[in-house]
Amino acid sequence: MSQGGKMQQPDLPLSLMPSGLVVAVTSMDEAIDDGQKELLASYGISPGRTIIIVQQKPMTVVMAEDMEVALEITVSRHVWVRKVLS
Amino acid sequence: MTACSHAHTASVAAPMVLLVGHPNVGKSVLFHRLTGNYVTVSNYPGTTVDIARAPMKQHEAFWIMDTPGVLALPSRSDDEQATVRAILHENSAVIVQVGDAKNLRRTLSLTAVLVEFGLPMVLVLNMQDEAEARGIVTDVDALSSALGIAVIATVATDNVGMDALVTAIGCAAVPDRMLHYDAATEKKIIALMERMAVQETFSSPVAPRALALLALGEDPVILSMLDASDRCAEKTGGLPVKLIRERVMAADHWVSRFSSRKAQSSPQLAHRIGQWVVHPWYSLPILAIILSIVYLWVGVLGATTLVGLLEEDLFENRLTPMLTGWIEANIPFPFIVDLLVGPYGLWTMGMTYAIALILPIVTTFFLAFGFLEDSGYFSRLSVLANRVFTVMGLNGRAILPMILGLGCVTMATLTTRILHSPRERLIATFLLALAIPCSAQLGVVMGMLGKLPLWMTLVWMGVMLLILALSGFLAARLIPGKRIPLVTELPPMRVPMLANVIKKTSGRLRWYLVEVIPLFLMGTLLMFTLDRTGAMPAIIRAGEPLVTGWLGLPAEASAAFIMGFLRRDFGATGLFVMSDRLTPEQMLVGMITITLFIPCFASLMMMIKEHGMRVAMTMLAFIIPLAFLIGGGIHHALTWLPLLLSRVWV
Repeated sequence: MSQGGKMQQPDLPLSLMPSGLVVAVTSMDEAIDDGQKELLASYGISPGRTIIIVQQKPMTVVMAEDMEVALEITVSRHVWVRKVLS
Repeated sequence: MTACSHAHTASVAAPMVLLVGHPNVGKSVLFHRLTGNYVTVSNYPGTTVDIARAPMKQHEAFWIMDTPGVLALPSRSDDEQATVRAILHENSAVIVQVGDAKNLRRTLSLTAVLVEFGLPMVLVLNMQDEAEARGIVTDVDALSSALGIAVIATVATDNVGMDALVTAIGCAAVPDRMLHYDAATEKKIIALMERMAVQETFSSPVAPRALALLALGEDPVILSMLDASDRCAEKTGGLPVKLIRERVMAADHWVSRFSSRKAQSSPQLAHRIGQWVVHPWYSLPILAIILSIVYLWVGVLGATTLVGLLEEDLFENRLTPMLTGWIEANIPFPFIVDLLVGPYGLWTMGMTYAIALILPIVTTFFLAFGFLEDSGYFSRLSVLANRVFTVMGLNGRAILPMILGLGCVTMATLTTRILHSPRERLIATFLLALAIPCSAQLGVVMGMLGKLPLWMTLVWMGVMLLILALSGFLAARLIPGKRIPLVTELPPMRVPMLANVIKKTSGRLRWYLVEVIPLFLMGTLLMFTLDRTGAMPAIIRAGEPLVTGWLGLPAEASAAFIMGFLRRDFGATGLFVMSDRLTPEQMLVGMITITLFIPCFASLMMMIKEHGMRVAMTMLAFIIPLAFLIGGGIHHALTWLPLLLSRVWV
């Protein structure tokens, strides 16, 4: 789909995105319970927020503002993100 | 800036100043600066699992309280609940929120809750140096005016900003509210405040609005104070997450108003190192290098060189002969002479073990440990260890109590409180009691392993890791409950501060000397009594089928196991002094058995305190037979395997 001449990026699980990418969190699956959503939100990972992917193995590590946060793959695969176009 | 320039400055009526904030933002360093008292400070979240309090040295009327870090409010974990209880029930005069200057959004999202308490408040933006290094500039004066409270920029480790903070505490003001929630939420808050007003259980000095907000966020501390009907009514699916999001959005708005960022240069070296130590390729070689350095430092320098200097050169060749000569010449009672300098003498055994054998080992270990924990490396290990701990029904966060257990199992048992569920705490406590040797014991074991071929050291490590993994695997399946996936912050790597490492080491050594020497002397007295009454030979005879028959050790090794009941390192030292009379295979079997053997008396008491008598005794009933079973199994494998292999080979 075209938006202002640019292709709309698809939503993908955070765990599938390559390192170094800047992404915006779009949604979280129901598989992530409310407690985890609270925890993620307190680390600055919630829908609408932008994060940088630092690495994916052995765990997903993202930079949320100036804090590095490590997420297990069982969590990061349920966090949906979209690449931020520069 | 002037700390006392706000119009609605509150007169401070109550004496407690609470340091509240996210984990790992420097609350404990500030506590030290404000009280002169030292609590353990480390570069990983969850250092403070208990509440420390002491009089403020600059304002004697006030007391300072260091609370455990909170990720967010409403509270979810035990340590967060401890902080909420402190705010509600202590004589709270001032809340000093300690925040990370380089993460203003996160800091302000917690501020948005704390301002609701209606208590005088000061906001500290700590680690200002790290924020500046990243090009982050915050207009503290403007932020202070907007919040209506003093905002102080500090670098607590360098004592920067402390005078301004002291002044600000003396005239702290009640803050303005940071946000209004949406209309539906505000309506719920007011309705709940009205219901709570008629309930007698709410007698806290904090603003009712804060209590209502926490109740709507399903804070267990507040829910426990509500009537049963209200408790059910306030379990509102999804609202807690929504409240947090609203606070984060409000914080975003404030950050855009008061903070800016200069164009960032290339990442700092510390940041790069932090990424290398969790890198898929570099992390394991880095871990291997660190472990090798620790082994050389503790196992070779501490357990071999320094022990040799102290035990042989100082004690055996100088002090003990001198003291023995003096005692024999001046004390005419052979019983007393024997009690002091005999084979089970208070000096020859108790003091020699504590000072000459273990002190150099624990000193080198504590120095290495303090250096690593100050660097922030331990926190990053949770990323590497997560997969291993998943097998045990835990997550990588459990690495912190396990590593602390290598320092002291008793303290580590207390630190299991940083884990998020009772199930995780139970499994971690069990593994600590079973297979994690404390520093003193580990040092002695390293000293003995240093005399053995490398393959035996690898067997010892392999057996320990296998038992740890298998026991954890079984425990995870036997103890009901769900595993919690790991989501954790990774604090930045920092150059360890030598002064902090030395301070921590001396604090730990003081604890060691105060706790260990009396226990070693008591243990020696017990051994002396058993020897004198003739019970020792009887015990050695009784233990023969187990110790000699099953474990393949000399009969006298029974004495080491009796000593091990008091402290594991005391027992390990008992084997250490016998090492000249043991074959390498016997040393290996002895080390494995004594490492798995029961936890020391102090950690047993901590297990009872944390989990109750029934759970602690159940653990012991499993651990003691298992230690002998594994030790004997290794002995028999070492005896029969070479024979079997040689036959197969022929």
